[in-house]
Amino acid sequence: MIYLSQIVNGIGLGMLYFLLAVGLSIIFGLLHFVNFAHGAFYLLGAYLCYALLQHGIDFWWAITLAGLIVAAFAALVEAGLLRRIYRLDHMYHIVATIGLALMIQEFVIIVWGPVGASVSTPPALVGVVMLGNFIYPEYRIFVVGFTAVLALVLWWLLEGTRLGAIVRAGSESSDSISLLGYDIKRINTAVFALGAGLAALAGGLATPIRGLDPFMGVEALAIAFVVVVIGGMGSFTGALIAGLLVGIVQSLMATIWPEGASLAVYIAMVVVVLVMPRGLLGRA
Amino acid sequence: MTLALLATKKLGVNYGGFNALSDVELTVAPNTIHSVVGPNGAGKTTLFQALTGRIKPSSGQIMFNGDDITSLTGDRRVRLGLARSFQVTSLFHSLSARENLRLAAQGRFPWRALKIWQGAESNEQALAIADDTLAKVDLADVAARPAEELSHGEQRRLEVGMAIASCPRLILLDEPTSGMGIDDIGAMKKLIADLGRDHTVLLIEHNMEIVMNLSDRVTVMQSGRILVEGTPSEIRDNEDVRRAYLGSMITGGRA
Amino acid sequence: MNKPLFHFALAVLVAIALPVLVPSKTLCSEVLIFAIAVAGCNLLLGYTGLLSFGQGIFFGLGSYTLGLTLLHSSLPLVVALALASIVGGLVAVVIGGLAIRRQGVYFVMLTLALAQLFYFLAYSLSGITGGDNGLLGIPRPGVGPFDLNGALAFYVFTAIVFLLIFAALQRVVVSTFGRTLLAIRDNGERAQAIGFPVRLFKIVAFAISGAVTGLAGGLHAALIGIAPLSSIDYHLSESVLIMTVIGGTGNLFGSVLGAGFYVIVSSVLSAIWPRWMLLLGALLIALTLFMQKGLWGLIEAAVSRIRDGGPRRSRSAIRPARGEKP
Repeated sequence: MIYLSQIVNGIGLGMLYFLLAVGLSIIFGLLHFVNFAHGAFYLLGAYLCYALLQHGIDFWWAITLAGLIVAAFAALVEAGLLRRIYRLDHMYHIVATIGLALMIQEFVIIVWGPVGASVSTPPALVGVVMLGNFIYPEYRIFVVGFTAVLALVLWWLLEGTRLGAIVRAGSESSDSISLLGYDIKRINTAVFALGAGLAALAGGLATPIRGLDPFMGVEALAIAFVVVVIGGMGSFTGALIAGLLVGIVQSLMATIWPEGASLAVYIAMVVVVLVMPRGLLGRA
Repeated sequence: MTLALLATKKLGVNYGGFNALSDVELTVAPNTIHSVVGPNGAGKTTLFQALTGRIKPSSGQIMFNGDDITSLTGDRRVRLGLARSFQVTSLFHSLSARENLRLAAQGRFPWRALKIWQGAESNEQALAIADDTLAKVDLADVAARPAEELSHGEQRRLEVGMAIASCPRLILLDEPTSGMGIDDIGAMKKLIADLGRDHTVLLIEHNMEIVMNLSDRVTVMQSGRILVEGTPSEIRDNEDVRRAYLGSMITGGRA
Repeated sequence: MNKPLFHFALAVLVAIALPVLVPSKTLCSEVLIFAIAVAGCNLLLGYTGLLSFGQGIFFGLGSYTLGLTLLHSSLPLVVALALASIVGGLVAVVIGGLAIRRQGVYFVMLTLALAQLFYFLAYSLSGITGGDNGLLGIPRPGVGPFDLNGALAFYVFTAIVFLLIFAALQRVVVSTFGRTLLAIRDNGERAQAIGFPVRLFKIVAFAISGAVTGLAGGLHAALIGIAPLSSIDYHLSESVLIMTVIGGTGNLFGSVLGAGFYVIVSSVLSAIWPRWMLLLGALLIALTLFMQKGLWGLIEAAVSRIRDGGPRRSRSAIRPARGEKP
């Protein structure tokens, strides 16, 4: 029974990982750009959410505002800096975004200090729900529901709108988009902001579950990488399946061998790479 | 009829339900120039990919010099004497022309290149082949220049030189004149003709003047299949080919 | 300017000048130890085109191997270092073999994830590694008649090891093997097409890089007397990579510059302002915008300017990113 409960817990965690990875994935899909600052956007989202809560702002507004602020910041960074380096080799993308990530991390430490904090669950979601025989915290159900709705919206955005068609065409060739007469620069900025905003939302949503510390960005970046290595870059379905898989593995291991919970995630990734070298969906 | 150097039997390539190549029976006799022509999408490049081991055929067999090489990896095939040039120039851009050719010659004996103590300049055999090839492709003057600083025509000749330097039994040339200006094409034509004297060449080419003047045999492909095969004059007079090409391409000049 | 002997002379000069210019001999040793690790990273990044985020794995395992050997046996220091190097090399074969199954950005992400795997492994196996505390109280035996318990004595030992490794790597990069790596870096597809088993070459490059980095990790543990968890963490992998890029890729002496710059500047700045990494982040961004060839590139440009009396058109190290199809 405890395992079943952990699986449901894992789904909540997995949806957060999905949110994190899908942002990284769509940025890469359109821009062919590996964003090593993705974890830092997650970190910034978490701390902004925390700061807004400290100022007495309601949880809903706090996560929404945190997401929007980070998205706006990311748009500035894209337009002011990253745009200039797309033509360079991947190595330089990585170096520049590592630099950006370091700056964000140090900024967080300067403003909020090196010691972490905990965030209490929003009052409206403090209770527990009895699902059959086991107890389930309301907040986790909220996370699953909220991210599921967000996933549907994203799915619609990517599969059902013109922006989505462009993003998907972008993974083929950015020249063809310019030929279609779209302003590719604006689309790049918008998609980068969207990806960063999703990471920030994931950060905000994660705070009541895992608390805060200035180094949570690195951990999130690594998890996002695991998810896209398993699920494939630029794939919505891949990110969803792989995110859930990683979340569930981690939650199950937390009851079986707590010290090895994080380890198990990476071992799962190695197994997938060995058994299915092209990733779960075979697209990579 | 002499023993074929290269022969495919019922060769097929299938990309997720789409037959890029089906039932291809190609026979290349030694010491001939054999051209493969056809409209874009006819499967010429797919055929090359299958022959060089870049993609796995979904059916059929590839025989090289009497051996079944269907399941061998690309680098094994190179060691057996099958070399290719690329349609899109694919060089080691920061290395000198001579070093490019030295590496291509070394590719026949890749294990020797694992020596981490021996200087690269001590591979006398490979260097001799590289110098020999530099003369053949007329690049001796620019031997020390990095490949990325060569002119387009020079890069194309170096590209063909890369195939020659591996001392192959069969050279596959994928559109050697691709993107070339008029002035460079003459040099390339002469180079291919020279190659034909002591090598077997399988050529994909759009320039019909080159194909018709240099080839011993021509295979015409369409929609992944072989439409017809024959000598250049047989192809020129073939009704099916005329229909497929609307005549223009076969009778002269570039399409 | 690009003669191997000249670069080796520069390395000797650095090894001699360092203890004269820098008061802390421990810091001097640290510079040369990281120079070894960075050179190992450079072999992969600059010469083979593989951006490995997993160098911390080899460094950390080297530290643990040396620590465990010296804590649980009375083997000599040189043997313990050799073991650290062997373990680094062997694990690198496994890591390399696994990571090169995927290419381009997937390769980079995979190496980072594998680095995390080994970090959590070291953290979880606290019975062996000491977990969060690390391995403490590692002794530092002498080599033959020489006692190394003294910062300067240990520096001399480190400098000798550094020069040996530097010369060996110089030999490797001009060898037939090293030139083939350059070909693989430039165009792996073509290298495969002309008959080179590219995967094998990449794995061998990993093995050498891992062995060198493992040795550096071992030296570091001997230097500070502990094998901390931080010697295998993300931050270490990241630092080694940053030093490689700052120094300049594809040039072994550049790695010495990168390590020297990073280790000394971080030691000075962190004493003044704990949040100095903010400046490091800004530096990395400036580097991608204005000095892509790193410190060595700056020096090269300066020298050619002095020689030619004007800026020379340099062959660009910047190539358009090859589009990675998802």
